[in-house]
Amino acid sequence: MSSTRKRLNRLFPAPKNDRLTDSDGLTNLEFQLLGEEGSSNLPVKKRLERLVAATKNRPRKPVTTDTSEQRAMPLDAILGGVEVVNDHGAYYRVDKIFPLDHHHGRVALERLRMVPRHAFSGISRGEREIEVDLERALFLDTETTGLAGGSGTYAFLIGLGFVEDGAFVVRQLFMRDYREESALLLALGEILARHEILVSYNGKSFDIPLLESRFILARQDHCFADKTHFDLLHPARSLWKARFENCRLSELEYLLLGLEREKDVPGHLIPDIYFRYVRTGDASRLSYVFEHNCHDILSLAALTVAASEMLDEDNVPDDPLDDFSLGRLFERAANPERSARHYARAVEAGVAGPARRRALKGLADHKKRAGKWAEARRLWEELTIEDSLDRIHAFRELAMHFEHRERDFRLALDQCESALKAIEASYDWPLAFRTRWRDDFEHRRQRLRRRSSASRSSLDR
Amino acid sequence: MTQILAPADRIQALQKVIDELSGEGTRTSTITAVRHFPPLPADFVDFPDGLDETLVAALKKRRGIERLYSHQRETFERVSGGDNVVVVTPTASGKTLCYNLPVLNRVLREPESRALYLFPTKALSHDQLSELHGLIQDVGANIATFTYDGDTPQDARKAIRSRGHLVVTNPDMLHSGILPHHPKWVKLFENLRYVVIDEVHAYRGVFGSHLSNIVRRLKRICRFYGVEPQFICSSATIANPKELTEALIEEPVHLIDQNGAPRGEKYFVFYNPPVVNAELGIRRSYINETRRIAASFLKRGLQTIVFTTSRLNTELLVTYLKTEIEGNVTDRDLIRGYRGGYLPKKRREIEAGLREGSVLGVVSTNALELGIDIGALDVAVISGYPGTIASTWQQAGRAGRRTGAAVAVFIANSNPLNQFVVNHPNYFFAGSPEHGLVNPDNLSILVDHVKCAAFELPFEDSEAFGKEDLPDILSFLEEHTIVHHSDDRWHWTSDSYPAENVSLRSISSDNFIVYDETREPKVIAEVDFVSAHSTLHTKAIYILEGQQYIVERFDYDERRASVRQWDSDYFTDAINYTKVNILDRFASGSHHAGHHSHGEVHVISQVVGFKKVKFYTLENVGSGELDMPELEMHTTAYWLTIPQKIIASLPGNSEERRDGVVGLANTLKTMAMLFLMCDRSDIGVAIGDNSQGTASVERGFKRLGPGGRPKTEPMDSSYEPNIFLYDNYPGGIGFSEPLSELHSKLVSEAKLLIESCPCHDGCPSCVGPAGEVGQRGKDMALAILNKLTPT
Repeated sequence: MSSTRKRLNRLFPAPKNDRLTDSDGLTNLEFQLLGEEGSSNLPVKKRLERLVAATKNRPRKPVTTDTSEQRAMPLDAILGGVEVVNDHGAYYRVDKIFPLDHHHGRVALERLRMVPRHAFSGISRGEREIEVDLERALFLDTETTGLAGGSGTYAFLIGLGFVEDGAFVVRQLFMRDYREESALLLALGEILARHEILVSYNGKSFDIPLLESRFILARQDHCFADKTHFDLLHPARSLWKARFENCRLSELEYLLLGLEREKDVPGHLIPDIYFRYVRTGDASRLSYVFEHNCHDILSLAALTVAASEMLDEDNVPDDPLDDFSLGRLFERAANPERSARHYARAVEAGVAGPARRRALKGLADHKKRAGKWAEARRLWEELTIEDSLDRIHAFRELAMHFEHRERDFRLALDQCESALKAIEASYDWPLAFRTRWRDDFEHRRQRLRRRSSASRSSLDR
Repeated sequence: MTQILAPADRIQALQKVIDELSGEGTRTSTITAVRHFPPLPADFVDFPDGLDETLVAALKKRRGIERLYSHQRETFERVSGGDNVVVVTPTASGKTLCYNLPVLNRVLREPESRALYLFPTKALSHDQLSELHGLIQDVGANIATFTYDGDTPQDARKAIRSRGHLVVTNPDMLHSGILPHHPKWVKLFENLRYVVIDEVHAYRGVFGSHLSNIVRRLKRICRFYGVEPQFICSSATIANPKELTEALIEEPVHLIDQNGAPRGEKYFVFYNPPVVNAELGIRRSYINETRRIAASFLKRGLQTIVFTTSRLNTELLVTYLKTEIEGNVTDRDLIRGYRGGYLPKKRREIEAGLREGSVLGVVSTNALELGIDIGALDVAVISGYPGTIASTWQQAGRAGRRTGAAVAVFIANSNPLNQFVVNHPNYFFAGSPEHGLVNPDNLSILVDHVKCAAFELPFEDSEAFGKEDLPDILSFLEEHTIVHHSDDRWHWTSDSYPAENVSLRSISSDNFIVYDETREPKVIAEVDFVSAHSTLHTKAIYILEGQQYIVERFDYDERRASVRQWDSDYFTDAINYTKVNILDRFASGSHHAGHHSHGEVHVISQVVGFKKVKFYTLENVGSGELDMPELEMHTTAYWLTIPQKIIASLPGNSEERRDGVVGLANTLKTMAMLFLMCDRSDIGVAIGDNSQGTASVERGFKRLGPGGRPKTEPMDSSYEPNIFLYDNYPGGIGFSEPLSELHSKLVSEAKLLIESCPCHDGCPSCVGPAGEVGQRGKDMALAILNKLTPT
């Protein structure tokens, strides 16, 4: 019988090989295109067009492991880190020290020390009170060999940020090869043990489960379960989604911190850069990944400060949408007083569209619960002028208000008529919605007619 | 109004129908067998000593089970002794208790222990789950049991991973959802004691070869967590349950096949619809015959299940029988249909109706063949051979009450397999010759799973995975930058998720997508790369769930086909031009006058045209030419060489002799399908010339009809035909060696099939229709066989 190898080559003939090596070629290409011209802001379509054009004329290259030229770029020369040896072997470490007066965008790092411990308490319902002492926090962000998850995904670079000896340290733990993972994780475990709080961006669903798996695979214990974990992603979404829609870290740092990254490496290229380094020893592109990761850590710290400032009781945001977001956040966190304050300010400052309606509705609900009927009525009436589904809600509230509280059946009937007219005129609303509300108001109208004629006849008598 | 009978009247009614059928059978020679199986008493034994008291108490008090069947106790004791087992017993013999007893017993004693249950389909795992829940409730123990499959909600998954004692899943989910995430399942793997694999016989061919590799990966992960689970398996009756199970789990397995469950009295009737056109070998429609026979049982109030081979036939027969049986409104829902595609709620309702007796008759696809609980019925009518003896017995097993008699009727259609079985009842009743075969070392399957395994845990230099050279495979993968060697380990270096790209039910993942463009284009199916050439070519009739479509465009580069809904009275059959080169002969032998070999071959095939074939009558009603890309494949094959001197000694001219070879090739393929339990598409057939060195040139499969390319080169005197039966999968799936071993049986049974066929000149039921094979195809094939096997 022919050897396994011979049959493998027969089974997977040449064309397939080409396809497999393409990804690496693509990496080089896209990276050069983007890197040299700093064109990461180009629309995706443009980039693709360029790629296709470039690929067309490119001669097919065989897979090569000859990298003598590239080996001339050793790790130390590029990254300036050190090899560290612990009980499990060696790994590579890069420390960058930032004095606390360093500004990352518009935020000075020393403001980390001024964030009150309870800055993030009471912002999400049901979660236990979070105390965040940012001086004792560990900011964490990993670079991985893929986004798919599963035990074949490695965290090859672990970026950590913490305050130490009056400075902000960004410490990057790096495995130069897969064999260094065990030492890397041991080092991570030691640093983790010295901190109380873990701060991440989307770490709850990505970085931490991944690292937990890595610890299990390396047969090491980990202490993630003992840490308070503050994942900034969720508060960031509630705070800024109304304003920015896209709440990716890089997006927020541009919009909130005023930072624009130059020559940033696109995330999807990071695994290939690492694989290339591992295979060939070519570290030339790794520096982009380290910079990217360091930048993420600093932005994470700075955005944590920005979020805490926005949540500060005394803070009056410049943008009324921020007030709206805060109103909604505290409404969900069952803090009606604070919610109403922000909603009121948002309405006053003239937020428009869905935000305004949501604020009016939330505010009216609050007044209703507080028994401030006149104010609630005024808000509902404002809402009925809005052209949206929300006005039906307002008609209903008003109808109930007039019927049960003011006992003015004629006014209540007016609300029903207006509501029914609005429902009939709104062909673009979902049919089920229209039917349900039509039934509701017709039923209500019938009852009101009965009651109003009864009260009239009793008056007549 | 038809009513369900009281037990006493049942036997009488059954006897009456059987007498009627037999009487009719003698007149028209349509009944080819009536077998009577006398009742057998149960073989009861006491509960074994090691069984937990609470479990025994629950069985006694809640279930009324005072003693066990002997095979249940044997399984328990074997498992307690540390053996892997495979239990082979018929339907309704208390099989589930065989594996549930040892598993629950262990969890009761060691609450940390875990077990994994594998069922081939989702529907089956849901049914088994409710069975398990019931038993656990009776025991009153805190044993958490969950299904984990594609339907499991995301937010429930975390709890299942850490809390589930018994996790019920399917191979697909284990492959892509559990193994690649094993660190999240640390609780399960660290405490995994048992792996239950039900319906082992379903894991054969490609699917089984995949499963075997999934088990390799599972065991590898278990070793990482320091456990070595035992395997408890079950299988329907096949020729080699022990070998198949051992091939799947690659460990010694103890076979338990002494059934201790009681059996009621049973009749098994074989029915072949009468011939209406002897020239063309056409028989009366088996669907109509099914309707007639099923109705004769139903009208007497006998609870009947009808099994069909397609969803279309299911719907057809439901309609027929409803009209015939449901006399008035109060009879509504007396007859029901059951198939994949019905909503779960509706299915549960029908199952309950069958158990309680409010449903008199059900027409089903094979969906009801496996373990779903519908109670025991009076009659099973099997309309069309289900493909394997194992399935036929499982379907027949749906009829059979503990007391009183039951009947199973098999009604044959005109395809060759059906005709062989119905005309050779001994073949069917004498014990199964069907082999479940797997080839887990098929290179393309193996490489896929090496990737998955490398993703799950780095390979160590010293490790083995399958029987091929692992370092060779890994260094091959390293060249493709998929893994990386560092120190003594191979690490995964790709940002992909390999399990996602492996389909367990086929080999290649390079599939064609079928778009229905009747209205808004929408994806309706995915077809594997190889079959796409013969089923999705332009003008092909593509059939999906009974709906016909015509292919309007076949886009090779985009891997897509555009189809439109269509209504035709014919289907299309692609004409393949195939060339086989022998690369390596592993072994050969002689049996009487013929030589047979098996080895590695290079197959080049091309679809050059297609025929239009009329439904039911299978008449050839037209054809067309095609220019499709060539397909190349390295695979394994069995081939039969017919010596030149036999060919020379045949009567007739050279063309007629060649017709005989074609006819014989068709018949051999039919027999191979039978023995290997595989589908038409699993085996390819080609004819070559042995005199041209080892290179074989296609000669047969000609007569494209008007407009086609005639392939009738003159035959020279040195012509020595090779008939190749090759595995229709790159790398081979392990059919060729067993075929070589089965050679003499293959030839003698082929002879039987042709001899006993009542047609004159060959028909679809034996060598193929005369219009296709040639007027003397049947004669010649038989002449060759007579020379190959002198009596």
